[in-house]
Amino acid sequence: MVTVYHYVFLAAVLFTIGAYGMLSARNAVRVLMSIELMLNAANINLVAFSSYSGTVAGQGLASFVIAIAAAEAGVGIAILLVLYRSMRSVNLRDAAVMRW
Amino acid sequence: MIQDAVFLVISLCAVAGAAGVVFAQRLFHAVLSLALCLLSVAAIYITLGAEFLAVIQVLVYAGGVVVLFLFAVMLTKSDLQLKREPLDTFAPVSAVLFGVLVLFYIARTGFVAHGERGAAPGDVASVGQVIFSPTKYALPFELVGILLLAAMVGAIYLARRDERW
Amino acid sequence: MSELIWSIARALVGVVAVILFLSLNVLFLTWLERKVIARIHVRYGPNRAGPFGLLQPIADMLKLLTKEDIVPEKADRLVFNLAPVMAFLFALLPAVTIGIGSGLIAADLPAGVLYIAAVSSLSTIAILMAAWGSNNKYSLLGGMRTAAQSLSYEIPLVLSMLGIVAIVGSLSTQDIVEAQSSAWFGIIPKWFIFYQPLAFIVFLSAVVAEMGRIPFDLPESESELVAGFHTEYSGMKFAMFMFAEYIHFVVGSALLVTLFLGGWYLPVISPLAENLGVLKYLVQVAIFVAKMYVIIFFLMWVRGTLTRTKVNDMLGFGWKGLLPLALLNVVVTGVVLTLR
Repeated sequence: MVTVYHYVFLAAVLFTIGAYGMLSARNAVRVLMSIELMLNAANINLVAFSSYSGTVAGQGLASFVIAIAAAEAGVGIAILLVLYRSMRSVNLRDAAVMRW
Repeated sequence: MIQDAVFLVISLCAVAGAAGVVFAQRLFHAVLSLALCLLSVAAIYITLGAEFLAVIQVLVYAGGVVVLFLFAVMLTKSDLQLKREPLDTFAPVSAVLFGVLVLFYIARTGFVAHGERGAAPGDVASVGQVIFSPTKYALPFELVGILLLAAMVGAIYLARRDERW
Repeated sequence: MSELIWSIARALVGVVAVILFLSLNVLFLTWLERKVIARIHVRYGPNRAGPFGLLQPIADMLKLLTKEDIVPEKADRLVFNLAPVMAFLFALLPAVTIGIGSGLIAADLPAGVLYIAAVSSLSTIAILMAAWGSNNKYSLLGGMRTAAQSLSYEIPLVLSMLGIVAIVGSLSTQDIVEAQSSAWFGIIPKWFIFYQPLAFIVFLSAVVAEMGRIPFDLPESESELVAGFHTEYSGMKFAMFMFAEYIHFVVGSALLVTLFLGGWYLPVISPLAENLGVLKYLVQVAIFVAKMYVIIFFLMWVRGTLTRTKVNDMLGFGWKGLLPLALLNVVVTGVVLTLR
């Protein structure tokens, strides 16, 4: 029997992996992907609670999260391209200077 | 019984994909495992009866965001700067500690489930009624629209190549 | 338990039927395309294998099967080998929700049209995998073009379907065809091509771009990119890409027929066929396939007539031409539906 706990556990595992990736990755693209993982983990929780409690509101919220995640990815990648154009690298350790 | 097995297989796919995002040596492989993870999450939504969200997940994430990331990997030549990233000793330890802490608190929290799985309808019509109803999410919906417009303008402004307008 | 087995069996039968239908059509299409293009060019086309060269597809298949399977030395092996399989699978996915008769559908999903829009965007990933995995500059350029093309034309594609969805009030393809199955004075069919002519033009252009056919076949324009994303592929893997491409062709035409041309309904004939019993389904399938081949022939005609556009023209046409038209169509449809 799959209970709401199973879904929350799955979301927690995904969130932890995402948090680890976001904090440890050197490449900015990987950081952005890890953030997407964390947003997805949050979404699983929203949908699971919505499904088990019988209210649709959580699913509406989750669809907003998806829209915002897409906007975040678009702007994030645009910033990465600018970074790459000026630094010739997307390694975040290289982007530690305040001026050049 | 079968439903348990299905859930287990899907979750394993999702976790494997997530692990691939963080640990894959080549960034292109990392993006492909992100696609695997996002599709598994869409399957998770289907097991919860949220078919609208599952379709939106595939449409926006697998069709849009993943392709954007593939573009980013190609344009920034990230795969060609293959240096093994030095591993912090503290990062994995703190991640495991964080995970254990979260799981511990989840186990201690008593979630009261009012209904069975799939108690809420997840079809397009019912989600649409929630999103567009003026008493619920109509205002946030409009705000998300403005946010997306702003993001689009910002992304185009940032990514443009020439300085003249 | 028996209910579960029954539903699994039904799904299996549906999937096998879809694959059979698509394979037969694809085999026939490879022959038809060469023949039609040849006649437009005032040539004969294939005419050696079998009557009218009809056995040519089988000869082609045998040839591709026996060809050497080459993997470039510097290729990313995993991605390179996975890409054709993915392209094939992703091409099959949207076909599941297209019915060729009332009830003759593998899975009548309540979110049908939305599902088709979602899964048809997946094939971009497979193409980018092929492009990047080959480690070849022509592949990469072709793949980039494909991605840009399918991302920008997907938006007008989805928007042009919105008007129909709003009129019908359902996303299921079965309901959409049912809504078109009547006629004014018993002769003029109430197809959505008459209600939504603007959407039809936008959808037709966008679907041709999604299929990657002339005039929008920039991803594999052989004069500049060798063969685009499948430059490095040979033998069976190349065959899988070709198969996927023709499946896109069939599915796109079938979708066009379903959404705008009344699916399996034809005035005068369909009402007569209603009291034929089981034979009714045969008539429906025949009508659907006939309409599909009208569209397919039209697209081949276009291919034989027009030239390839430039990349910037094509993307400009998508964003500055089709997108505003599709938005206008949505607004007008919404206003008319509200006022009625």
